[in-house]
Amino acid sequence: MKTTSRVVVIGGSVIGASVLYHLTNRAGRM
Amino acid sequence: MLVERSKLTSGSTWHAAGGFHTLNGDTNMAALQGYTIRLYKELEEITGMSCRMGGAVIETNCMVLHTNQRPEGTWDVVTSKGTIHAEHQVNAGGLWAREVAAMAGVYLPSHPIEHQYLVAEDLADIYNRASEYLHVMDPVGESYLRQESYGLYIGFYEQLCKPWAVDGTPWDFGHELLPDNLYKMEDSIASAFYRIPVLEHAGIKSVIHGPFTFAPDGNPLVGPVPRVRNDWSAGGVMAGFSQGGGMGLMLAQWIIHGECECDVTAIDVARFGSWDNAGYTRSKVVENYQRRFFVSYPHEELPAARPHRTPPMYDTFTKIDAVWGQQFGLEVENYFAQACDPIYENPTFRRSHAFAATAREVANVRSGVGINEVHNFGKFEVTGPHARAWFDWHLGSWLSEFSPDYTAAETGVDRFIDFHKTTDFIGRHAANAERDTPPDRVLATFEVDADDADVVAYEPVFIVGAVQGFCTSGGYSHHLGKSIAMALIPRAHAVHGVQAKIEIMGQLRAANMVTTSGFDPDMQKMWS
Repeated sequence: MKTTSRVVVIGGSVIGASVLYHLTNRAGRM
Repeated sequence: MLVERSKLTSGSTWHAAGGFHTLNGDTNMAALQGYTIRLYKELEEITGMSCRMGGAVIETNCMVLHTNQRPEGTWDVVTSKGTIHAEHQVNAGGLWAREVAAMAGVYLPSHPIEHQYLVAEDLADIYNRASEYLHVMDPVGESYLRQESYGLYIGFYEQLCKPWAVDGTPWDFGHELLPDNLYKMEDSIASAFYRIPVLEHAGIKSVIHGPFTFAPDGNPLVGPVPRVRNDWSAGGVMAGFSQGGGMGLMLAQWIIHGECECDVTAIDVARFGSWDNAGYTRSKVVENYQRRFFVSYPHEELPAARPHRTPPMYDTFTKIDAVWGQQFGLEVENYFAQACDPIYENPTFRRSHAFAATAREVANVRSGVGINEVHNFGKFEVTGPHARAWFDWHLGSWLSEFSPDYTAAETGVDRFIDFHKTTDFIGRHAANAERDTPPDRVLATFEVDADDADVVAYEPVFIVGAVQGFCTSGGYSHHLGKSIAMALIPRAHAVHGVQAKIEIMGQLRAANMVTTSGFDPDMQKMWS
């Protein structure tokens, strides 16, 4: 398992996945 | 990196009703729910979402055991598969968000409630439709309904609701449902059969009964956790599917840019302070669940978990019939009733029975002296060698028309900006740009020919027969004897005396724009 990461999101349902998606793809505007 | 205790969607997501809409009392929340719907449509077109995750890793069956902060502010996230060292941690724990927050020594005001919905067998009336049936929310029946396959499902926010896992969410809970409990929904079901008769003869295919989380006011708990560095909350997202996309975007903006693109007061986890506790949260969560589909009124005060915190004058003011409200968990006197007044403000969109009491108090303090307690006002002490620089950096904003959603030049706050200042400050670049290119809309004040209801906010403003803007706030000025509204309208129309119409309670009311202050326009009283 990876042992370092800039951000760790704890929880893998809709919200966790959405946070991860936006952190890695688009933190632009609505 | 994302770590999941069990499988993706474990907890409440897998049994969510999955309704989508953009209805919310907060305009930015409504916009974010709209963004969520658009995002899902976009994602539908993407094949293999993981390939767009920019190298992010998802680790399932990886239970977080501890989160330990190092002295410099980074985190050791200790899991069942080993320890991950990270600069930031995000709590998106859902049903377990309370427990994950507690690992960092934080109390998160979130609590699960048991919720139930019914899935009906296929119906000929639905099968024969040419289009999908509408998504319905029924405030009277406290129910929501949408098409599922060729049948319907219907869910209820019943009054006999029950908090779940009061002592903490079991770690071994995952893809289970709770036992059916149709008893607590009997009244709601009867109302649904009356409203939608076809349901009465439809067979029930399944009953879905499971827990999901609420914050005390029903909105998500998002943002930086107060007083803990690099700790972020993404909890209490009751409408997970409906709000998830927008909440993820806001938190990502917050982490990357240090702020969000819009006013996020409604979802900011900091709106609940250290005064909150499990008893307050549970009572408010039950109240919020029971009122999920109730109509809310302007200035309405809700009774659960009160009084929670009281000011020093609470008993004294109560004896003289103070009518109390609540802010940030603290009782605040709204006004004082007299012998003929009820000791509560009636919920209404029209003028309440606080109207006469307010008129009396305004007259008294204009012509005499009043005394009040202002415990609920924020007070800051800024000290230290960089105190002045800190003040120089800030351009203040408040709520209503002075929210971060509007610019300084739009609202007229730019008159207070010292553009000769040599130091930088928040929004300086945008404020400078607006001096060269003024904004298209500006804040205007109107005197409204109102009757028994005044502007609250967001009423449309008609000018030359078309909607040209919207109100930001309003109310009755007892001193002037006039109903006043403030609105953002096109700059071209913002001239003294322009005639407009403002829609209040379904009626178009004449409104006259004024550019001078109704109170002491020449500042004679101020300088006297």
